[in-house]
Amino acid sequence: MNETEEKFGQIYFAVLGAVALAFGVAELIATVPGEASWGIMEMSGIFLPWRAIILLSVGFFYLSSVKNFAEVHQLAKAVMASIMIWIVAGIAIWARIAGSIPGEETWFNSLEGFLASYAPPYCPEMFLLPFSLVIVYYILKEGETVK
Amino acid sequence: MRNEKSKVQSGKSPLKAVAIVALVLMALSTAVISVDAHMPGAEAPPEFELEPIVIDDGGTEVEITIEDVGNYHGQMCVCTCCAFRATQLGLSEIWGAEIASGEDVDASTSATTLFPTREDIRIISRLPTPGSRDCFQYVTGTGPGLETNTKGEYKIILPDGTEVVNMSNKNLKKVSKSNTPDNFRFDVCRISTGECFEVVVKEGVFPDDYFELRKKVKFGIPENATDEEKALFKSEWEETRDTFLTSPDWELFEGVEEPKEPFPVGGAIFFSILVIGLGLLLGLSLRGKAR
Repeated sequence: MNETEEKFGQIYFAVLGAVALAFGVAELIATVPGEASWGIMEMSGIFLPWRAIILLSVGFFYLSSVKNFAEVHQLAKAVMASIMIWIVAGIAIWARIAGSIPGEETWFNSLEGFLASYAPPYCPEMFLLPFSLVIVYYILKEGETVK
Repeated sequence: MRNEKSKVQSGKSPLKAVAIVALVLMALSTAVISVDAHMPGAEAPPEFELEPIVIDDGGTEVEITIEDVGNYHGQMCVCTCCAFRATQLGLSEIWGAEIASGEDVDASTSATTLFPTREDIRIISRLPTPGSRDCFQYVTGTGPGLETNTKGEYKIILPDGTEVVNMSNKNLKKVSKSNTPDNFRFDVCRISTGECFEVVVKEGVFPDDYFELRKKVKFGIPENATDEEKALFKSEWEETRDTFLTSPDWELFEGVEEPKEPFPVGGAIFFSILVIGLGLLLGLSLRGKAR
């Protein structure tokens, strides 16, 4: 990992960490009324408090990994935070896939019904998912360095 | 001692007053319950959201809610709810487009209004019941005790063509003994243009045995209802009232098309991203293995 890559990683994951932290706080606040929505983002469900805790942890891990980002232990923190996002977002996506196949009263859903299952709103973790994939680049880079 | 005694006595009188007030309030509340429950022991309707009927009463915008109609009739019964929904649909079918575009819908005056004028509304009902009568009279301003600037028209013409002129409760109850689903038809007309829309309640809105049970329970025809039949009618009555309060128009009335839901563009985009993402992931992992 060269200096530019390290600098980019530091800024990128600092911003991502701050955003994750903000989403975590928002989810934590949303646990009081039980649900909250903002545009196409929705925070609801019985696991909302747990998801809030996970997002807060993600935020802390990303932010704490920023200093001396190229160091393997620091990078590991960012990787761990990304994996946490992948697990939560993966579950949310899987729930959608599973729910999109059967119809309300039939075995299989209509095309419109199938696609409507993937329509907004989405949970905050799903918004963070594509941005968290940047860590894969750094994992590959680290692998090359080790080789 | 006297002073103490008088204090004790004076302490009793407020208690008495409180007791009397409480008794009066209890009596009043039971009176309200009896008025609210058209069907003895009927449960309160569920939560519902119904838009008010908005009309122009001689230049004054009037909002009529289902609660207004219910209060005028004394309760929100099946017929009141059905009549209210039928009026809503009829007015929107005839005046709807003009209301939406903001055209002058008042043909009798030059004033620009956005709502149907009361004097331009004619309702011809096939249903001879006090509940529907009170609703239609409230909307057209033709009922007793209503202070309105203008009046529309309201008639009851039975399915066999007989006009019911005597709209007293006693006569309507007598005429309504043989009500069938065929009575649940209403013509909502615009007097100035002669346009009419016939609102017809769909088959299946009323349970199959509803009218038979009604005859038995309310009029003892052909024989008095058993306790089981009374309980069954009560639950069917509640269910039908709730259906009229909560179901969309296309589930209640003939000739109303269910609005098509727009194509889920957001869902299609997300699904595409998901498929592309998974494809890339698979491609990358296969490439890694090949190396």
